[in-house]
Amino acid sequence: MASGPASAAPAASGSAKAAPPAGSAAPDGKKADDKDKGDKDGKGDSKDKGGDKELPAEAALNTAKVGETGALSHDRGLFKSAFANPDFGKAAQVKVGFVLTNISSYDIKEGTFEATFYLSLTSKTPMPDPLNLIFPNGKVDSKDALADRPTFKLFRVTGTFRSPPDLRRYPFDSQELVIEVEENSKGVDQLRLSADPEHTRLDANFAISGWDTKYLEARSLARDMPPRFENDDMYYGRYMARIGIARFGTSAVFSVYVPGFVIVIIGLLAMWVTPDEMEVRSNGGAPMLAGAVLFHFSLIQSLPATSYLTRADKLMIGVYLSLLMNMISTWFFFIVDEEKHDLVFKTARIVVPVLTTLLMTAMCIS
Amino acid sequence: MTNHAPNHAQPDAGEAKPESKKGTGLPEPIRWAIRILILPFVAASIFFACGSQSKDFDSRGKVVRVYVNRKDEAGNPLVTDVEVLYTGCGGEVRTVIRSNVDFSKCALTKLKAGEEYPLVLTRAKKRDGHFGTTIVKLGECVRVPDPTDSRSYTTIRDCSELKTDGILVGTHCEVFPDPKVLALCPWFAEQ
Repeated sequence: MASGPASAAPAASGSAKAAPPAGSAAPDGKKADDKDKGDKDGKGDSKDKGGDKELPAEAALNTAKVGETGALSHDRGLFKSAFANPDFGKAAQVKVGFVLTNISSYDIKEGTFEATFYLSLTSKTPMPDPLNLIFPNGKVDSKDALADRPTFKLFRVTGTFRSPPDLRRYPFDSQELVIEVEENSKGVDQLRLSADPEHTRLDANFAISGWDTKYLEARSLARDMPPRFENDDMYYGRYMARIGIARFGTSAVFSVYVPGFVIVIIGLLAMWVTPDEMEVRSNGGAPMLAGAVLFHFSLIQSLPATSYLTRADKLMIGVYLSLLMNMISTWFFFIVDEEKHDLVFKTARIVVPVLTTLLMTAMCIS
Repeated sequence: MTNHAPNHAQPDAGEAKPESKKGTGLPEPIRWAIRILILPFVAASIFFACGSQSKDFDSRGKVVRVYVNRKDEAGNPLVTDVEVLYTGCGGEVRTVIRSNVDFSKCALTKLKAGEEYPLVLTRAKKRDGHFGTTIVKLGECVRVPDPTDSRSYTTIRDCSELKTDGILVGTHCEVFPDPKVLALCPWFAEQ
């Protein structure tokens, strides 16, 4: 791995600074003249001046040295990465405030949701400039800068974010909606993010239809990336807001469990149909089975494919097995002698309901 | 009331009785099952009928802010918001209440930010047509809840530090009335 000493290759070595550091951030982070006001594409705060696109990490790149392989690196500071900025000074300790105003269009099948929130960045010392905030798990529709000062920035962000759902407990499931924010051009040598507990809140009357909001969590971490290029040893700050939501319990019971139990109970009524009404008895199970299949089909239509069984799936397995027991008890009449019909009838009337109760209980609590 | 029933009606009724018992057609276990199913509905109806009665609660809250939201041309307050921090619920439970002229006059003269006052809550109709519990008296100030009020709201926030490997990495805030809050302030169960 070439660290790029200046003497290694005269043609390629030396500073990578090809042009005056027009876009370089001074250690104090001030660059009031050419501030990018409100990058609305959500792809960061990179600048474009007169056709010369200024990269967000220009200051760091300008101080890097070119090695034999052409890779950039720094030989000072904590990191060798081309994105390190040993001249920046002490990293700005940035407190991130997050106020969530709205979440809508939560699609559990796709795991997507639309969110609107305010994001504030406050630090005692100036932040590097420009910031290149990205949202790794989402696509931002608008990012309006309401304040953009070296030590204080406030954005109003609207976008679509993605969080894979966990449906093991469906329909009594709880989901965690995550919004991630990352500065991926300024590493932790310039910027360290931390959650601001006092300014991590939900807006007044915040609600997500169909769900109870349980908690709001904010955490920050420093993460590295798989080496994308030589000397890619930089850590980057990431902020994560997590919103815990739980499906309305009453809705879950009435939309999933009640239909399931109604199918089972109506199926069980066939146990009291006497053998002389065999046609009625044998025809009772099929509509219930068709009803169960259609109901199950409608349930899974609204969910993504999973590699595990949800609680609703387990309930439906119980329903299918209960209906199967009903049918088996009816088929028994066709394979036993007629004089034993009364015994089968009485036995099935006790055994099937008891087994069904045990089965459904097991499926509900498993 | 005179009974005009013909005399021969009695023997007919006597004959019909065993037929009607037989005519139900349902086996005994099913009739029992129906009775068992009906019983919870009756019990639930009684429970909800009794449970829906109005109940007042007493608590205490610290006034965080008194804000005159609207004044008349003479500068007299018409509508005032008072932000109250419940002191006995645990966590950070805040309510912003808005009310009318009478409440405004009282709030501006008798409520001071930073002071703690007794408060009374009662059941009242909300904007969405459902019932919730709201403040009707704060200190000496009586508030008449307006069902069209869309400004008043409550936020619940019970935060704790989030640590990984013993290092502080963030904050976790419960924003739903958990059992701990409900034990101290049971009226939030109805919000």
